[in-house]
Amino acid sequence: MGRDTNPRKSLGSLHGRIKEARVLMVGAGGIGCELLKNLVLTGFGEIHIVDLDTIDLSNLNRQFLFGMQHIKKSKAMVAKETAGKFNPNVKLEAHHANIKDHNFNVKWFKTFDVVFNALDNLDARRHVNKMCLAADVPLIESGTTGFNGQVQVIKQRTTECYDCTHKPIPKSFPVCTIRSTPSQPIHCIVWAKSYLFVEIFGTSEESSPEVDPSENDENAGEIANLKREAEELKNIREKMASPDFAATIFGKVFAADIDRLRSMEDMWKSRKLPKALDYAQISEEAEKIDNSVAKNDQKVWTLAENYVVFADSLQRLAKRMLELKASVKDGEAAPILAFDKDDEDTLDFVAASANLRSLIFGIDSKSKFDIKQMAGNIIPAIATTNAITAGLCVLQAFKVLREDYKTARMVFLSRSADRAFSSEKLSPPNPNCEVCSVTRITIEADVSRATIGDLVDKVLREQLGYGEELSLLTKELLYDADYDDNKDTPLSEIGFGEETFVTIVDDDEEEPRINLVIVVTNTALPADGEPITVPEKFEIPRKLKAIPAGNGGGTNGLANGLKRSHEDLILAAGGEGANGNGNEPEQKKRKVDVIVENRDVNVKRAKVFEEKKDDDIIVLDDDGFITID
Amino acid sequence: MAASTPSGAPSSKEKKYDRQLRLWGANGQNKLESAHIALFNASAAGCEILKNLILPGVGQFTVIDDKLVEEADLGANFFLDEESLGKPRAERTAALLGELNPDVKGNYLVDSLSNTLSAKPELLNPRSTPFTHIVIISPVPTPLLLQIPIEIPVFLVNCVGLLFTLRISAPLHTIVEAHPESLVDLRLLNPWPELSALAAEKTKNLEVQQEMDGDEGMSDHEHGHVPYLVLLLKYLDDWKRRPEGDGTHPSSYKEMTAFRSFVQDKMRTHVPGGSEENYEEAVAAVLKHVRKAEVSEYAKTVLDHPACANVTSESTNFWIIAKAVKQFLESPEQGNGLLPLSGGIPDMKAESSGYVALQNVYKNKARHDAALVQKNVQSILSSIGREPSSISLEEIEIFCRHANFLRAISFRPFSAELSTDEFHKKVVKDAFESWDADSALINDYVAFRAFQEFITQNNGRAPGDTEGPLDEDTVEMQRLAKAYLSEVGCSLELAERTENIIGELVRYGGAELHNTASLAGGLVAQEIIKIITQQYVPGNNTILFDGISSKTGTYVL
Repeated sequence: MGRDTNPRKSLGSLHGRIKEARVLMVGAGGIGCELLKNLVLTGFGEIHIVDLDTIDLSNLNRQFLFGMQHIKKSKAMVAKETAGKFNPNVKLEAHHANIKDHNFNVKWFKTFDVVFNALDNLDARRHVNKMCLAADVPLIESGTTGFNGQVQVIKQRTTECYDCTHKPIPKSFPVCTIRSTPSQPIHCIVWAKSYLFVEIFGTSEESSPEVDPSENDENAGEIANLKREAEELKNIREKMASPDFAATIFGKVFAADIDRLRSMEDMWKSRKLPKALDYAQISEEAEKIDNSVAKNDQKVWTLAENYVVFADSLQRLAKRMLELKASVKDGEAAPILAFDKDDEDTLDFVAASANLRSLIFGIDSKSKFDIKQMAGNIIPAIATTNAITAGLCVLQAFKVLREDYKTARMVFLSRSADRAFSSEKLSPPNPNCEVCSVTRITIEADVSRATIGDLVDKVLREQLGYGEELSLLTKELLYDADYDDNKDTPLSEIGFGEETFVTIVDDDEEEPRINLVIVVTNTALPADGEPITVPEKFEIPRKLKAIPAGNGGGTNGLANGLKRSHEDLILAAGGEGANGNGNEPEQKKRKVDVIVENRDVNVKRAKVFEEKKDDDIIVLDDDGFITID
Repeated sequence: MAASTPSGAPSSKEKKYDRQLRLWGANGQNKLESAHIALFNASAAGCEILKNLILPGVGQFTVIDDKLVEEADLGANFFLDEESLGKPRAERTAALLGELNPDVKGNYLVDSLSNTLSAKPELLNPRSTPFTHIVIISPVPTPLLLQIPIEIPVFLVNCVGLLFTLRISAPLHTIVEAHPESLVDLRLLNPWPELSALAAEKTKNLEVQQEMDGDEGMSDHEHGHVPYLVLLLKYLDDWKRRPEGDGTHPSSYKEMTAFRSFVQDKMRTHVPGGSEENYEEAVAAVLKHVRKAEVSEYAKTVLDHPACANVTSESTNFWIIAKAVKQFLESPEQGNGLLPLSGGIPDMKAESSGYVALQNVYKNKARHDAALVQKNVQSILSSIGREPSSISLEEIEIFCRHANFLRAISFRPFSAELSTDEFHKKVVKDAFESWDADSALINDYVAFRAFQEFITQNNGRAPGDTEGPLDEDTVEMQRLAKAYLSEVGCSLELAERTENIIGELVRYGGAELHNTASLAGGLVAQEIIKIITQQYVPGNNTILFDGISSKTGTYVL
């Protein structure tokens, strides 16, 4: 009886295929630990593990490949080390890295038979989804929240992809609600975490995705005031070493700023007037209270208790900050502190500040335990659900290795045991999905020489038959009929690296082609030849007519969102992009009308687009966003 | 870890368990930490179950097994390594499982279930047992199973190839915190005086458009911020008073639809955007919240249970408070037909002051109701000779908040199922008559029932675990399955699905696959945690899993 007697008996011929399989597991957290154990003991031949994260104490209630001695070490490395001992026949490879790194390119993804997503954030999930589609490798996607979970099998052209269905966009709040007129505990928590904390200890230029800074005629005056308030706070920040630092901050944000708000009479006509806090009185009362009150995270603290925690945590943070500053060498960036739900100093400060603000506005205050959940967007997690989910992933992998997508399933877990979980057949791809219902080609280009013009003229128009109306997008708009500023710029100067995904949207009014995704691989082509390779001629399918908008068939509209927002901007700026290519103003108008369905999102994107052109503009990470239960 | 502990740090234990405390709270965690789990048969599935209980911090565990570690164990069981070969499985798995969590105490006994029952009866005697919950991994012949006292919760698991089953047997199980989707109970059709008064006050000039500052009219801002709850209360009242109406609340679907339009029509549309969010919320809430407050069937089962009527000094707090709630419900001066109010309200568009006022009316009523129940509790406690203050107000409040979601589950004992009593026959017959019978997992149950009979007759040997031809075992399994069906009174033909499952069971020869064992470990541990914490609703009483089609089925057998 050998060690693989049982698998051989139960799995039959599949057992051989499993032993040959080379699989990738992205994420070595809750699901990842379970999955890796299952993959190793099932005898998968070669397993690659990618995870950027390090081990934290709060992982240990479920991530059993890690122990106390591993805290702060790489999840990928420790997982490999621990799990590897349990089956000498399996080859393990660990990468302590970000899956979005450039060396994990399409070519690399193509070397795997199956990819498992065991991730905790939307952004990375979407990235791996995209890479697996491009590499045509089956993906098994999974996730859990508390007792709930799900497993989905994704295969290009056969099943839905991760982006075929709408994924909720995390909630954000108007800046005036956060800064001037809060009405719920969450508003005060966001204020403490994303404004106050950041102004004192972070880089205040960083904008928070939780706060929507849209300006309109009504609030323009107030926004100007808020900018001034933030300026003043920054000046106080310089006095961090002073013994009355806490008193100064307190007097500013919980008294002076509130008095200014009170003076805005219009604001309080139908709202309850906020009441500034009295420093002298509260600090006197606080003298009787011990700092250890911060440890009681289940209790809803009193006003004075909140003050004690505020002053104590502020002092702890200031001390850390000053020590950091002292250790910084000339020429290095100024140190900052970032909010982390598991960093007690930052959590105490945010909890106490949020509660003090709630008390000013007559809003219920919350326990530190609850605030931690709201501020940190904590997702409850336990071993049992992860174990079930990981087991289901491997069962689906058996189907995938047999290329049996008919009996593979999408599985949902729920807390109810009446139906411990339910499964359904895999849905076909959403024909309107902008991520998977596209045509894909790969071309080689010498990105230091090739230009957008080469791509547009030589590849798209001459070879593939595109007309005048088309747009090129990466994470931003690179080119369209009204925006050709980049046409002669080498690709390397507009963000092309070793491997770059460009989406081509056909803007033809009559019969637009479905989106085309070109994977541009950087290659040193002969200097005397063309800087770009030209693909064979082929016909790109046309879009289905009467695209249903909104929920059901909705997509995330990444490309369109960007595209539309750009048009919005151009129009807002007076249509300066129009450059006499025969495009009538009426036509432009009509296009804009179509925008309305997704207006909120687009406007928001437009703002970000405007302000942070160089950054990764649509980072919709699960972590750090606020959800309210 | 950081070198110095900041003064705000909670204990490292709280931090380690943070993510699960958000599911079952300190109360659930305390119960988990007081539990002692016995595992009979340290198979892969058994160890995976223990792993999922040890990680969240169960108090103690004891592994009881009399086998030595073989090479095949290493392929399925993560908690055995090369060094373990030839050593007792109980000792090695207890050691490796113990490494998962230093807060958990691990024990082992090199022994079998049958020998424990005969040679160490005190371990399984309900009065002397150290174990709070017992996990048994099959194969276990039926007579042994029937010797385990019904007072101890038992989780019996079969895990073979891509299949597993879980059977739970436990004494009467009560649940306060079932964690329903929502505890909100708005009482829109049964408002109490304070709520009606608040609604009347907040909607006094609802129809009057403000013309200038200070007049009695409502500005558009105010009008658009009247909480939808208040709007519904006002319009329900107006609806009753319509000249064309019959003085009753809307109840039929048609009336509800008409009432929805009735509300919709009152919206101010000259405002920016052409609509008011609070009115939209009101319209959307009609079908969900405009309903008579009723006592749920689950709560009735609890309040009508004999244990509620016959409270004695032996009764648990659950039954004492249940009796007090029943008194509240029946007393014309107290609930007058209604349960204590839960007190929560959903989020809604409103100014914070308006929302807080509304919230307080609900909170105060809930507090008031709980205080009445507390009085009842105190007099019940006196009558059974217990200290009247021995049940805290906090415990009573939690109970009242969940009153409509209380559960009392009677798990049927193994003996009732395995003797194929009338109840059992009916469940199985009904399952075979349902529309999806062909693909239902009741077919799998028939195969597993034959499996149980087979191991009982073959002294613990699983079908297919043989050097001889498999066909013989298959034929025997089919015969046993047919015999069972005839006992139930069903068709003697084996369904195709049952035959397939028998085929699979024989092919696996009782062997475990790690992946299935791991999945079983997750699911079984989750049910054990529900029972230990007395939170969430566990499966009653049999859960079957088929890994070929990734399906589960649950039956009360």
